Amino acid sequence: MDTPDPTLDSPDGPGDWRMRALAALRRPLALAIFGVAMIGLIALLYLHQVAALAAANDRLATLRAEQARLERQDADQRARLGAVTSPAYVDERARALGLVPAPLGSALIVSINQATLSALRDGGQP
Amino acid sequence: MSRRGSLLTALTPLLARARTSSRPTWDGGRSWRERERSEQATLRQARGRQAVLFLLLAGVLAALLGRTAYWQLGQRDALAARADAQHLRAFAIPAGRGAIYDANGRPLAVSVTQDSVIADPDVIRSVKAMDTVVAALATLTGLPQARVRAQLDVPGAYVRLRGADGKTLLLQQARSDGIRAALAGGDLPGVALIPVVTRVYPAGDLAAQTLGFVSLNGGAGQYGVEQREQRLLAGTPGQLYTAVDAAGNPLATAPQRSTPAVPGADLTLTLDATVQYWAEQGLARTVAQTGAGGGTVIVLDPRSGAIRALANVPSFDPNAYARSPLATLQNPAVSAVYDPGSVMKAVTIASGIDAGAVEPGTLFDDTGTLVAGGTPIHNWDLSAHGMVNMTQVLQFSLNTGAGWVATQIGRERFDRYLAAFGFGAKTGVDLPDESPGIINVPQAADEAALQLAENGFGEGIGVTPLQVAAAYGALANGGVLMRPYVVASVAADGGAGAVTRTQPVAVRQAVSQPAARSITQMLVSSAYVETGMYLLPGYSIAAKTGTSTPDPADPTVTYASVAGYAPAYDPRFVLLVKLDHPRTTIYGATAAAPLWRALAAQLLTYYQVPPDRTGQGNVQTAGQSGQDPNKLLP
Repeated sequence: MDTPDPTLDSPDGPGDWRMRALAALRRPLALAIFGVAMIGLIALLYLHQVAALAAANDRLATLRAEQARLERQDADQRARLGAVTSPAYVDERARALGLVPAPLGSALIVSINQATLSALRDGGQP
Repeated sequence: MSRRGSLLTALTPLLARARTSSRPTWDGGRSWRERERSEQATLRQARGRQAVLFLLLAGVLAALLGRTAYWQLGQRDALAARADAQHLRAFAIPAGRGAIYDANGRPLAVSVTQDSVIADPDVIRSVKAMDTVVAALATLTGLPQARVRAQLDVPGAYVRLRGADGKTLLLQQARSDGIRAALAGGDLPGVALIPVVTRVYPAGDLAAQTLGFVSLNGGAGQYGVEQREQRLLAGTPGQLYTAVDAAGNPLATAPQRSTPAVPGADLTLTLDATVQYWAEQGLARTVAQTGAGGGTVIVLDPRSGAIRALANVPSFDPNAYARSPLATLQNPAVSAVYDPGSVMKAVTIASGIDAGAVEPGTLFDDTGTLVAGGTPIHNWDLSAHGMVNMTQVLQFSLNTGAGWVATQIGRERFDRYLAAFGFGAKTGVDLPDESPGIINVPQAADEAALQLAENGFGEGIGVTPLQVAAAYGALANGGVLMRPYVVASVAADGGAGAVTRTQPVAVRQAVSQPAARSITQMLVSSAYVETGMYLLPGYSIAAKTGTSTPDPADPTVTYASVAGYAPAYDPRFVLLVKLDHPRTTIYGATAAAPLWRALAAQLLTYYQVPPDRTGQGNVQTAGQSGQDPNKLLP
């Protein structure tokens, strides 16, 4: 007969250690401690999740504020673009620079076919 | 258990009575029988009480179940809503209004969000921070301290800071950021920023009556494209339904229900800001030079109906529309009705050619007077021109000749042609408040005959400038009338979504292509002789002048106009210039034609249209008569 394993010592002799653990858990104090520990762990996990969500909430709010600011900036820039590209503004600036409108008929528009255009680009005779 | 308990309860008095009663006697068994009967009676009573108790309990239980079902099933939604209302809030998510661009992508209308500053003087005083807040706000807003103090140091609980001009102070982005930082640091107790969305028209009064504006109250579009396309531009506000924290801020940690906002669509117009500016500037100058009460210029593409410019004088600045007279907000190009005068002669003769009533070479003996319905009609110059062909009727702008052509067509057919060219009905342009014009329906035969002749040269009929431009567009476009439009494309979702382009719509074939070709050749001759438009060297111009005096009793009520297109045989644009009541000169050829010519020259250069004629002359084709235009001169 083998020597009994002292770690598996039990009133019933050598047996399943799991049975001992279950027996221990049946004791009220151990059960209470185990319960409190589990509840604490769950609470800790919950608080961790809530904190992470709160941080995400703050980050989201910050990003939304930044998005709103950029959208405002975009609208401001478009309004500015509209102002500086308006014909009235361009006209005013051109006059301020001393430019005057060309008289009517000062531009000659000619129609050139593609072959002639290519020849001119190449520096040859059309 | 309860049944046994009830039984014991019922039996208790019986047992007690049995203990206290006399001992049983054995006198022949009679006492036992009496006793048995007595006990049976008692048992029956107990069973009765038990049944009553059971029924009572069952009734109470049923009532409780019923009430529970009532609250849990019947009132479930109402109770849930009341519970939600205690800790949930609905936040509106505003949808940004779409922008409006010209055909080249230049912004014409943009919504800008700026912050305004509100303050609660009572709160500021309660924390004894008035001096600090006034100094900080003066620095951050750029206003003088005295102005800030004058507005804040007043009794009351709500103040909106105003600028030097007395209007609500709207902050630039940098100043907003500065105040926001101060608020976050707790340096401005009793102060808050409120976002204000304003509609900005960066080009000022450019195309104001086509654009319209957005009202301050409610932000709805008024007049123009802003009104017509309100639904597209405004978008759809969203909603966030969520739990809030103590400060009323939405909690992302709580379950949320949200409907995302759909931003308004961006619109791209067919208007070209450059052409529009030229039209407005030229019109303003001409109105001033001729002493006119106002005027209209329309430029449109005859092949598609796209409107390139739509200018009116007087106009208004949509950035400050409240200061403008109500009458200037309307768009007279689509809503004002006037007698077109001789520009209608082109429509009349084109109809006559299409109907087979006349040909370009048909001769008419002009005696200087045409009697219609018993009323004599005279030429504008009160002279007779003898035998003239139809081209000459246009060249000399003969009322008698045009009235005669209308008579040859006949009332019924002529009305059909008017309708085919779009007169008497809305053009369908995508602008609000369009007028269909006025076509009278006289009952008496004399009146009908007179009106037919008058309509032939553009009197006694009410049209809008856009109807005239569209009708000339039909002449330029091989007889096909196109529906005019100003919205070229719609980009959904604030420009990020699908783009829908407006497809040109051919309304109908007003006259046949040969008839349109003939009238174009005749108009080229007419323009050459009549108005000096040959001054556009190298280009063929098809145009007709018009002068109308709808009220013979008031000769100051006149309309001078020129309608035409160029190049005549491959038109790039239709151009209408109309002046209301010009004073220095009342005729279309002298009041409106100089502007028409100047704008046409600019447009031909702008569109890079090469000359289609050699030399200085306007005309190479004299019309189907084959005559040399130079010989058509009076």
